[in-house]
Amino acid sequence: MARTDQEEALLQRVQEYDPAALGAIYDRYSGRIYNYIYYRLGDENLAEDLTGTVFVKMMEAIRSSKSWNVSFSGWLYRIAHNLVVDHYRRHRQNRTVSLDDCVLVGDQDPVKAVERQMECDRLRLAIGQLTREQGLVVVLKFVDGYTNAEVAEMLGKTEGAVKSLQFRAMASLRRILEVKE
Amino acid sequence: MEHTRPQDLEEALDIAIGKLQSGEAIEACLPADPSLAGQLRPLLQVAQSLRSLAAHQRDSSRALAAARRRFLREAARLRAPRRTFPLFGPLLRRGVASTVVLVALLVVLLAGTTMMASASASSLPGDPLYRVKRAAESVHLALTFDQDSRSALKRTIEDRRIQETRDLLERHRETTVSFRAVVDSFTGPTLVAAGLTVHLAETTTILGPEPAAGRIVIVVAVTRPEGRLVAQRIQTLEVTPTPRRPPSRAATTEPASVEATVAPGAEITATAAITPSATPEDGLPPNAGLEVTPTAAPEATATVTCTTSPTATCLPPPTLPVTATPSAGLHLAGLVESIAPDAWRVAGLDIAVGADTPIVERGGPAEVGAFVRIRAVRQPDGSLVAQRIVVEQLPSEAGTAAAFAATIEEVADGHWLVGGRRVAITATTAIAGEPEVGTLAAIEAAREPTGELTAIRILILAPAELLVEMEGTVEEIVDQEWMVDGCAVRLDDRAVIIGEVSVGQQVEIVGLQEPEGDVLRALLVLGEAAPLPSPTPTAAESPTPSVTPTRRPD
Repeated sequence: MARTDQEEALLQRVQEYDPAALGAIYDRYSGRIYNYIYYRLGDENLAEDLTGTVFVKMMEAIRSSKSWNVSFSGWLYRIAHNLVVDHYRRHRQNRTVSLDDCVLVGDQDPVKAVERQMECDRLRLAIGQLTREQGLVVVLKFVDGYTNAEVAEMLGKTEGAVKSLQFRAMASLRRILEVKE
Repeated sequence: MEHTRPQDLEEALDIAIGKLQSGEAIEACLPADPSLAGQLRPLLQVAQSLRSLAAHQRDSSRALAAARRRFLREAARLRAPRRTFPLFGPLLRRGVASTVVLVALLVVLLAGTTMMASASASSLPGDPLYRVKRAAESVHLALTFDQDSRSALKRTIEDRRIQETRDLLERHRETTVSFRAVVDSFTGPTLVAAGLTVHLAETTTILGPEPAAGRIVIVVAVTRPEGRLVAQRIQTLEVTPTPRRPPSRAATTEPASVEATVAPGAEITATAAITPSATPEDGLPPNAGLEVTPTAAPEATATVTCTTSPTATCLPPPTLPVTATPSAGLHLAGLVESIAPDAWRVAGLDIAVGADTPIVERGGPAEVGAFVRIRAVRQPDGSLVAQRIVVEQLPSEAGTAAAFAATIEEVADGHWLVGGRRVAITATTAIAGEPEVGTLAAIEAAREPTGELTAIRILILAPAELLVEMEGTVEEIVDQEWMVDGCAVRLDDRAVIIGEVSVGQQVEIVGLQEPEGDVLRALLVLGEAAPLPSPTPTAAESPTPSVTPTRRPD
């Protein structure tokens, strides 16, 4: 997924605080950033807040000439990850998963829905224990549906490195989930 | 026992995950090798579980839309430069294009008030806002007509360039700077000017006579991260420095004349005509990049046009002109003290009003006690003749009207948020144009005793995103079609060109993107400083400008 001239132009306008470009960049990346944060923290409202914070941090960084060098999306994920880590640090003792987040889908059977939700929460908690890059690969591939090539482009890595991260992520998740069972 | 390489496992897992994601069952995804299959099976089970996450994603679009609004509001706040004057920051932030508009708005809205913003005042060369700072300086210079003030301002700007260089060196930032200063000493490898030590490299070009103590030099140099200042070019001027406070002289600069028109066809046109001095004061060459110098024509104009929507609440009057030309056009505002058949008395002035003088009763009936704005022309005998009268809503406190231009951030019932300021919109607010978030708007408002602003009149100028700024090297000039860093730039008669422009020179351009997308229609071109004048004996002996002094209007 080579960065297009159009994207380059958009990013240039972002650096110039162009409101339209800022809106466009938010639209392009907020979903992915939200997913990443959500699957690390498992809290929808928190993910929403922190997603907004990621983009504000982006603005602040641009303002102080501390913007990305190579991969914009990789840089954005790093901001998101730092916010997640910061949140963990400050709220370590309060980590809970609320069943208020239960998603009722399909048959709307409350029992099945809760079971499904519990499984999702278990997975999210496990993802939250992965390294930043492993977690990113999992969310980008399994939640957002990106290909290895696209993930590699976003993270500024080779496809081989992405496959390696994927393998280690699966192995780590297996260990984490086994311990919990 | 055969050992499986990690890469093979990773590759095998990736292939299996690919199959899994295409809907195959786990067993069908596993490789034929039982050993490999045994290692991958539990990992594929994890991958299968992860697929359920995607299947049960909650729709976050609504939440993200709300977060988007908050982000853009916050972004607007962050965009706001560190202001030293609160009114024009948001507009100046838009760059030099905005300052073209600002020149118009300043006169249109403030009726001659010469307040100028110092947006991005602390920015340094290389900062995104630095061009805004330089453009603001240029406009400030262009609007400073008093000779002493102008000279003082130029020296302030020169000092600012030197201080910027010091700041960059202290911060170990690498960028190109230029400044003008008097040489303290010159030893060959180094030159000291204004207290700055400039190192000469082999590639340093020295133009003009050899630098010597007491001479004026223009230095173009690079600030190195290690804190050294390395010269690229040093130009020695064959003039002698003058005292910091020169004696007052007659003005040499034509004033700017600005006119804005709201045409009956609901088209808003703001025209700024700048007719600056072509000759520097004090016999000195113009400060690099700061002197406003006309090129092709003695007077150039820039026009910013936007068309209002048919649904816009554009109210009369059809025209809103303000002039400050030597033809004695005046813009008056005040309370009507008396109305006679052929003359009105407004704010203590008698103004002739003919039967054909347009009177627009926007804010109420034209009667004694009404607050009016009048465009008038001073006759040779000194009398005033009204050209147009607009009855406005009476500001709650005379003299506390506010005028500013900024980006619309929010449009709500009863109020707008413009450049971070809440402005009340009433039934009598005249709005020309279609308000949209992100659009530049000029606001004229009354300040209530509570401090709140109530909009009297709003001109929607142009969607901010339509204004494009670029900086590059002129590669080709063919009539009105230029190539700048590979970008086609089209100029028409309305484009303002400040400074000299030729092939190979660096220019800053502000314009509108043409519909075809890859062509920029230039509104404003900032070229390099005007060429240094040829050294002549009179330059040193007599600092008197060579142009015919022009008297400013009273």
